[in-house]
Amino acid sequence: MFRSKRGIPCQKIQGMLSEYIDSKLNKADKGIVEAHLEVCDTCSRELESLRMTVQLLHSVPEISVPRPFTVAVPRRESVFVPSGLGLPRPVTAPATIALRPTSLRWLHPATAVAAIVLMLLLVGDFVHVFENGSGDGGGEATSTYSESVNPTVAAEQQTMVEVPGVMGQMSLATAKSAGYTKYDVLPATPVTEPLVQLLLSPEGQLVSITADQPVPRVVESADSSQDMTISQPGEAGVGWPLRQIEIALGAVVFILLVFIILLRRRRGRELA
Amino acid sequence: MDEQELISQSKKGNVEAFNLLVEQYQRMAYNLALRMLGDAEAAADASQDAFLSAYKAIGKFRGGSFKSWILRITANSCHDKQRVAWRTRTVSLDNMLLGPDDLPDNSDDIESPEDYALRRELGKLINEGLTHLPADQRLVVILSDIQGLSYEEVAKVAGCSLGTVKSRLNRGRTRMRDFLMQNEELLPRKFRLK
Repeated sequence: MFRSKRGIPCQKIQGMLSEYIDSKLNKADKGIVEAHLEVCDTCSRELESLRMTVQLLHSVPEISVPRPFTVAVPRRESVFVPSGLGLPRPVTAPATIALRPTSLRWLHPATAVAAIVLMLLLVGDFVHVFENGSGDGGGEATSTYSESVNPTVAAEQQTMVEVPGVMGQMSLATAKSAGYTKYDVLPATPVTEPLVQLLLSPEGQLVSITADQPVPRVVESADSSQDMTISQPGEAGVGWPLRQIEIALGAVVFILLVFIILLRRRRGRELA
Repeated sequence: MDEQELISQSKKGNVEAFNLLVEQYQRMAYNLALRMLGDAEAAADASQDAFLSAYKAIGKFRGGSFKSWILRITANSCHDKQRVAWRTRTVSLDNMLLGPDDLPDNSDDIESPEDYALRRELGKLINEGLTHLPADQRLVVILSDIQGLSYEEVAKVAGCSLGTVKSRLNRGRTRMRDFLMQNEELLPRKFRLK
């Protein structure tokens, strides 16, 4: 390290040269630097070279802007467009700016409401709050229709019962013929495809046609028929399209959430 | 309207008032960005981003020097651009501003083709020298020596203390001097450093 005759390190002096050039040193420091420069050629050359550098930098002229950087006046939808992008006008404004203000304030509450309603419906559906009966009652899901059949034969043969103390199931007609008086009527399995088709023949007789036995078979005379209501048990009805509403609400919530996520990502990009 | 009135109107959403402020400071902001980035197109983008950010954040402006505030936003915008450029390494010296107006002209005489070529080389050299400085030193050197801001203003823009400004300026000038000395043959005779 260089030292002047007075013993002041050149490094310390050189650290003050920049301020010295800018006349920012206080009187005492300025005196120290000037005294040092008088006796130190190294620091004098350093000062001269730095002064030249600063002079060169000062001579760098200001450049005119290539295009204005003004901001376009907002039009409809509170959109403003930066004007200096060097693109043909109008330039599409950043979507976040257009969407940020008051126009989408409903988005979060609407999503929350839809999500809450959906949750309530799902929970209610899960605990069967919306059911009208326990499975054998009315409701739209239970189909009721009348057929002209003799309940004493046809209905009792179709109705399955369980006799206490006897394993397995049997038809009601069998149970009666066997002399059982106590029996539990079992719910009939829903028929998705008619195995037996009952038709009224021109002679007034009830005939049955099965898939494996297409020849009509007389079941019962029509004149002994009386109305019989057969209920299709199984799922209890709710009386209104619960599933459809749940699916629709789920779709709405999903779309709203996607919309919110996209909006946030754009906004994040804009702020970044 | 004076500057304070323009700022007040801008805070209320008056775009025309804000644009008057833009027109007042866009040249300064662009030149800062140009010297920081060394690339005309990137500088224009950074300046545009800076004014857009300023418009959105004008409500947070708490007073003081609007010039320092807008230059600070511009400097931040340049830092963002530099980060991207560092990742992609796409800054090209060919894109540096090399027009005749960019270069120092201290002669009243008619410029010879040789002098014109020399000026072009000198302008390129200065830009290249600036891009060789660390970003913090470059910012201080540009603000102080090219844009002529006071130490106090530089401290506000750079977001550092006065002592840090002095230190960065000294180191930045020294580095710049060293770079120019390495390329002294490209300097005009009056700027030869040895």
